[in-house]
Amino acid sequence: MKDTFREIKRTLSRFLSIFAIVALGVSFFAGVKATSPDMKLTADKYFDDYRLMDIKLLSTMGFNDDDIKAVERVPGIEGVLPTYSMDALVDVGEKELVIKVLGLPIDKMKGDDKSYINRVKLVEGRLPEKPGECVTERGKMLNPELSIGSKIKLSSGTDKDISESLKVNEYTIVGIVETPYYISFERGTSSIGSGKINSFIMVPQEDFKIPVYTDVFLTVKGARELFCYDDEYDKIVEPVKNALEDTGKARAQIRYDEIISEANAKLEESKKELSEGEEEQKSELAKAASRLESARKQIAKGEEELKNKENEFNKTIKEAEAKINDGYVKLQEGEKEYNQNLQLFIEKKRQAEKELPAAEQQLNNAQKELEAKEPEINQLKEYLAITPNLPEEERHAKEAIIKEYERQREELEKSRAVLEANKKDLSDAEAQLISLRKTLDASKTQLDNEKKTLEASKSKALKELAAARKKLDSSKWELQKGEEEYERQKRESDEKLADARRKIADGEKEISKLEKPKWYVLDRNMHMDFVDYEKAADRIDAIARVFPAFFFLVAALVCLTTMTRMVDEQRINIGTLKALGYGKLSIASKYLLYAMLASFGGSIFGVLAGFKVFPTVIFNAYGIIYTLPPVITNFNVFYAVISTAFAVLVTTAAAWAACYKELMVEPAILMRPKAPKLGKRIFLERINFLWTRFNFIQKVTARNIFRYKKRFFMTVLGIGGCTALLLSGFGLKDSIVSIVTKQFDELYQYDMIVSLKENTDLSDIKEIIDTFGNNSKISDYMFMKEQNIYAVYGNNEKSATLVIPESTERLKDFITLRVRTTGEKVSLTNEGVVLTEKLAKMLGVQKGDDIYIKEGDTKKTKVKIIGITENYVSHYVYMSPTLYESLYGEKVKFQQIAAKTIDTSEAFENKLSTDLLKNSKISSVSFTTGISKNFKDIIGSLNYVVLVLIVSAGVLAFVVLYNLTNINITERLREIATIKVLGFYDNEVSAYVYRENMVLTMMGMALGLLLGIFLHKFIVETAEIDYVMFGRNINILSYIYSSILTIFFSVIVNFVMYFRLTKIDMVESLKSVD
Amino acid sequence: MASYIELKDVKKIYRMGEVEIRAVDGVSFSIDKGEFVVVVGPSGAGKSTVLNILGGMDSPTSGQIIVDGKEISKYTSKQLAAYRRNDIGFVFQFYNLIQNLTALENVELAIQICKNPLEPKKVLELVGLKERMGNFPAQLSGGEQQRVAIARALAKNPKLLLCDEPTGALDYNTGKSILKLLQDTCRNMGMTVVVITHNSAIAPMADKVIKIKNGRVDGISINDNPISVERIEW
Ligand SMILES: Nc1ncnc2c1ncn2[C@@H]1O[C@H](COP(=O)(O)OP(=O)(O)O)[C@@H](O)[C@H]1O
Ligand SMILES: [Mg+2]
Repeated sequence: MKDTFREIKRTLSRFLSIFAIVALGVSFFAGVKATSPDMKLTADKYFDDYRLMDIKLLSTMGFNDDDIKAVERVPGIEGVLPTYSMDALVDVGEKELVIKVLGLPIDKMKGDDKSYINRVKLVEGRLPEKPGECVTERGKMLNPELSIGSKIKLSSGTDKDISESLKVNEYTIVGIVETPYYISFERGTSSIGSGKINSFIMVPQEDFKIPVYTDVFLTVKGARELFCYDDEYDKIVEPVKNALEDTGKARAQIRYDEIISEANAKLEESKKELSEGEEEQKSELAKAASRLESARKQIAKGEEELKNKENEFNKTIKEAEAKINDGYVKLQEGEKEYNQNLQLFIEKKRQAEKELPAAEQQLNNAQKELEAKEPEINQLKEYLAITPNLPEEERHAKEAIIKEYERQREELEKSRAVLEANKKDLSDAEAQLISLRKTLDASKTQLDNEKKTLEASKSKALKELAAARKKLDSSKWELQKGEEEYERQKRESDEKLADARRKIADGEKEISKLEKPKWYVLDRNMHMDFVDYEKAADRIDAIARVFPAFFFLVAALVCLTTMTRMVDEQRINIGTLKALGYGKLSIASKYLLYAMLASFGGSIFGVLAGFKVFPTVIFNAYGIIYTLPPVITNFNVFYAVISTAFAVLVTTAAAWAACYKELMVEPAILMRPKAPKLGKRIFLERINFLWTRFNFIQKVTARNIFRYKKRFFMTVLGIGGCTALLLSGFGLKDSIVSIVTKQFDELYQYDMIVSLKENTDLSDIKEIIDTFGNNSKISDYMFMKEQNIYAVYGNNEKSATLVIPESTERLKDFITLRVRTTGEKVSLTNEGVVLTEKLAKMLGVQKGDDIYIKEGDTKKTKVKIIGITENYVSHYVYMSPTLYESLYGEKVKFQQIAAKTIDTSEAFENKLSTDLLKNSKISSVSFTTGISKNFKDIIGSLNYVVLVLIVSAGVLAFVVLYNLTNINITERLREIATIKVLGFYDNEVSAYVYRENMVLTMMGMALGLLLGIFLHKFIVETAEIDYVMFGRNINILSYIYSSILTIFFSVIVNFVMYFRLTKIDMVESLKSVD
Repeated sequence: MASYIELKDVKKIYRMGEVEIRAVDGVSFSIDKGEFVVVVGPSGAGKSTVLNILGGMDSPTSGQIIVDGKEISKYTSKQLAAYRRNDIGFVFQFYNLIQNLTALENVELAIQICKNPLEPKKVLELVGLKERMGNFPAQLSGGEQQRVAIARALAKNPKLLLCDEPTGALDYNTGKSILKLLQDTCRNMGMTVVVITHNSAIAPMADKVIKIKNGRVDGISINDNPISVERIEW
C-alpha cells in the first residue's frame, strides 16, 4: 500500500496521465451518453411542473359544453382545460407578424387547479388581469414592439372582422412568459399573413367571443409521475386516448345529428319561407297585375271619354262656329242688302228730294186751283142740290163740272196721298233702313258676343281637354311605371326566391355533404415541440452512439499501453520482491492498486465532471433553439457504472496481465536486466535504394521507430485514434452542414412551394395560373402533386412522398435529379419511378428492381425503379404524370405548385406570401429559404454538439500524445541520458527524440485520416435519422484541420516535453541498471 | 605551470530534507596531460560523483574545476554540453550502448556532432572489433560491448577519457583486456585517461593513483614506473 503511494509519487506524471485519460474517456463517454437522457429529463420535469397537456383535442367544429362534459366523464383524466386559440395579424414596424392568440384561464390560475394546463412561467412583468392585457414570449427576434408596455393591435387577416372572435382587439403586453407548450422556435403555420406564425400572445380567456371552444387540453392521471419519453408513459396515455377517441366518435355523431337536424329544421323553415314567399309573390303579383289591369282599363276609358269629349267639343265648336260664321255671312249679306238699300234709298231720297218739292208745288198749285174752284163747285152743288131739276143737260153739264172737280180733287188728293205715300215711303224706307241698320248692328254685336263666348268656351274646353289629356298621360306613365315596378318586383322576388331556392339547394347539398365533425385526439407525440425536442435529443443520442465509444476505446488503449509499460519497467523490482519471497498477489497488488487508483479515481472524477460538463455544454449549445429551464444533470448510474467498470477493468487487467507475465518468470532472470531485445535490421534496410539515401540520423530514427513494434503500434494507433476522432468530428460537421446547401441550393431549384386547398377544381387552377402568370414576382412555376405513400419491397415498407410533376421535361428546372457519386443526371421517363437514395438504401433496392407503391391499406401498384437520385431530407418517389395516369387510370390532380421567385429576402417573401394567401384556393405558401433556414438552425445547433466532440477529441489527442511521448521518453531515459553524455545539445537531444515522435505522429495521423474516413462513415450512418441522409463527403479542409490539429497538439506536447528532456539528469539516469 | 586538470576543494552536497549528504567533501587534485589516472576507493566514497563533475555531467556545490585552463565549474549547461561533446569521452560500467544501433552505428552516432572525429571503423578495428562492426549490442559479449563503448568514446577524439568502473561487469580476463586497451590508448594516443575502480590491485598500472574515502582525497600516489596491465594479477 505504502509502496503503491510511493510509486505514485515517484511516477506522478504517469499516474496523472492515466488518471487524466481515464477521466477524459469516462467523462466524455458517460457525459455525452447522458446528455440525451438529461435533455429529456429536463424537459420532462419542465413539462410536469408546468403541466404540459398529455392530450390535446381539436375538432373540426369546435367543442360545446356538452362535448366538454363528455370529455370530463372519460375515466383516467385528471384535468380538462377547454380554451380558445386563433391566429391574428399584428403590424410591427414595417413588418406584419402572424400571432397565435391563446386563451389564458385567469380564474384557474390562482392556486393549483388541476384543470390549469399548459401553465405559464412568468419571466418578467405580470400576468394579464383584465381584458386588453396580454403576455407574450421573449422571442428570438426581440421585437421592441413586442416588449412589456407596448400596445399591439390585432386584425383578423381574413374578410371577417376580428371583433367577431375577440371582444378586444388592442392589447397591452404586461408580461413575458415561457410555456412548455412552446419550447422550440417554430410556432407552426397559418393560413393568414405570411403563412408562418411568428409568435404568440396569451390573453384572458374571457376575451374570446368564439361560440365553441377551439382547443381542449387534458392531463392524464398518473402520467406526470412517469417519464414522458418512456413507453410507460405512452402506455398510460394510450387507453385514455382511445377512450377519448370513442367519446369523440360518439360526440361527433351526436353533434352531427344535432347539426343535421338543426340544419334540416333551418332548411325546412327556409323551404317554408320559400313557399310562403312564392305564395306571397304570386298573390302580390296578381294583385299588382290586377291593379295594373284596372288602371289600364281606366286609362282606356278615360281616353275614350276624352276622345268623345274632344269630338263633341269639336263638333259643338264647329257648329257654333258655323252658326256664327253663318250669322256673319248673313250679317254680311244684310249689310250688303242694307248697303244696297241704303244706296237705293239714298238714290230715291236724292230723287225724291229733287222731285218732291216740285210735286208738292204742283200739288199745292192744284190745290190752290181746286180751292179756288171749290166755292163755285160748292155753289153749283148747292144749286144742284137746291135746283134738283135742272135740266139734265145742264145738270149733267153741271154735275160733269162737279164731277170733274171732284175727280180733280180726288186726283189731287190721290196725288197728295201718293206724294205723301212717297214721302212716307221714303221716310219709311229711311226708318226701315235705320231699323235695319240697328238690326244689323245688333246682330253684329250679338254675333261678336257669341263669337267671344264661343272663343272663351272653346279655350276653356281646350284647357279642360288638355288637362284631361295630361291626366291621362300621367296615369299612363304611372301605369308604365307600375308595370316596370311590377317587372322589377317580379324579377326581384324571382331572384330572391331563386336565391332562397339556391340556398336551400346549397343547404341540402351541404347537409348531404356535411361531414361528421371529427375529433382529433392528439397526444404529445403529435405535438411538434415535444417531438421536435425528442428528435433533437435523439440526434444527440445518435451522434453519441459511436463517437464516445470510440473515444473511450482510444483512451482505454492508451491506458492499457501505459500500464503495461509501467509494469514492464518494474521488472527488477518485481524480481527482487519475488526473490524476497513475497507472494504473487502481494507483488501484483501494488500494481493492481496503482492501476485501480488511477483508473477508479479518474473514472470518479470523469463521471462527476462528465455528467455535469457535457450535458450542460451540449444542452446550452444545442438549446439555443429551445426555451427550457437549465439542464438537470442527473447522475446516470448506468453509464457511470459501465464506463467506470470498463475503465477500471481495462487498466487493471492490463496491469494484471503485465504483472502476470513477469511473475511467471524466475526471479533470477527478472533481476538481471531484461535481455536487451535483439537488435534487428528493419525491413527498410532491405530496400537498399532507399536506405542508402538516408543519412545517419534518419537511419537511426527509422531503426528506432520500427524496432519497437509495440511502441510503434500503440503510438500510431493512439494518435491515429485521436486523428480519426477529429476527422470524423469535422467530417460529421461537413456531412450535416452540407445537406442544407446541397438539398436547398443544389437539388431544389425552386424557391417556393404553394399548396392548394383540397377542393380545387380545374377552373380554380385556371384562376391560379392567371394569378401566377401575372405575378411579376414569380419567374417560373410548375404544378406538382405530392402524395403520401408507402414504398414496399419484400417485407420492407417505408413511408415516402410520391411526387408527380406537371411535366417531366420541366422538372429539372425545379428539382435536380442526379446520381450523387457521379453527378450524372437522372431523367424521369414513363418507364418507371426515380427513388431518393436513402429510401432506396433502406429498402435495399437498386436501379432496375421492381417495388410496390402502396396507398392506404390495400392499393398496391408495381413500378420499376429507373433511377436513384441524390437527396438528403425526406424520402421521395418521382413519377411521370403519364405513368401515373396509366397506373391509376385517372388524371393527376395537381395540388402543389413549385415556383421560382425573383428575390429571396424575407420582406419580399412575406409580401408575396401575404398576397398569395389572399387567394382563397391557396392553403399554404412555404419558401425554401425559410425551410433551409429552419434546417440550418437545427443543424447549426447540432454543429455546436459536433464542436464539443471536436474539442473533446482534441483534448484527448493532446493527452494521448502527451502520455505516449511521456512513456517514450521514460522508456528511453537511459538512451537519452547517454546521448546527452555524448555531448548532444538540448535541441539536438530533442530533435533526436522528436524526429521519431514526429514520424510516429505523421504515421498515426495518416492512419487516423484513413481510419477517420471509416469511422466517419460509420458514425454518419448510425447517427442518421430515418428521414435524413447526411452527406457522405468529408471536405478537404476537414482533413487539413484534423491534420493541423494533430500536428499542433504534437508540437505543444513536444514543446512541453522539451523541458522534461532538458531536466533529464544524466547521472541519475545512468546510475542504476534497469 | 598549472596542471592540465585541476580540482580545487570541490564539494558536492546533497540535501535530503534535514540531512546533508556530503558525497564529495572538498576534493582537490590535479592531473597532467596524457596521464593514466586510477581513482580508487570503497563503494560510496564519492568516486563517481567526482568523475561526473569532472566530465561535466554534474556540477559541484562548490569548488573549482579547471580543465585545460578553462574553469568548467562556471560553465552553463550549454557550455557543459559543448565541453562533453568536444573534450570528454565517457565509458560506463554498463556500457550504455544504444541497443538499436549496430556497433559501428553506436560509434557513428557519437561522432555526428564532433569537430574532428576519428574514423569509426578504424577505431573499432583498434579496439579489436573489426569483424563485429555490423553486430547489434545484444549480439556482442560484455567485453565486446565495452569495447564498443570505448571505441565510441575514443572516436570522438576527446581530450579526456573518463571510465567509471569499466570492468565492473566483466570477468577477469575481459576486464584485463579492457584495461589494457585503455592503457594502450593512453600510451599510444597520448590521451588523458581517468579510470575509476574499486579494485586497488590495478593501481600499479597507473601514472597516478588517487585514493578517495568518504568524499575526501585519502592520498595521491604517483607511479614513476607504471607497469603494464598484463603483469598485474588480482
Ligand atoms: N543523488 C544523490 N542523492 C543523495 N545522495 C547521493 C546521490 N548520489 C550519490 N549520493 C551519495 O553520495 C555518495 C557517493 O556516491 P558515489 O559517488 O556513487 O560513490 P562511489 O561511486 O564511490 O561508489 C554515496 O554515499 C551516495 O549515497
Ligand atoms: Mg560509483
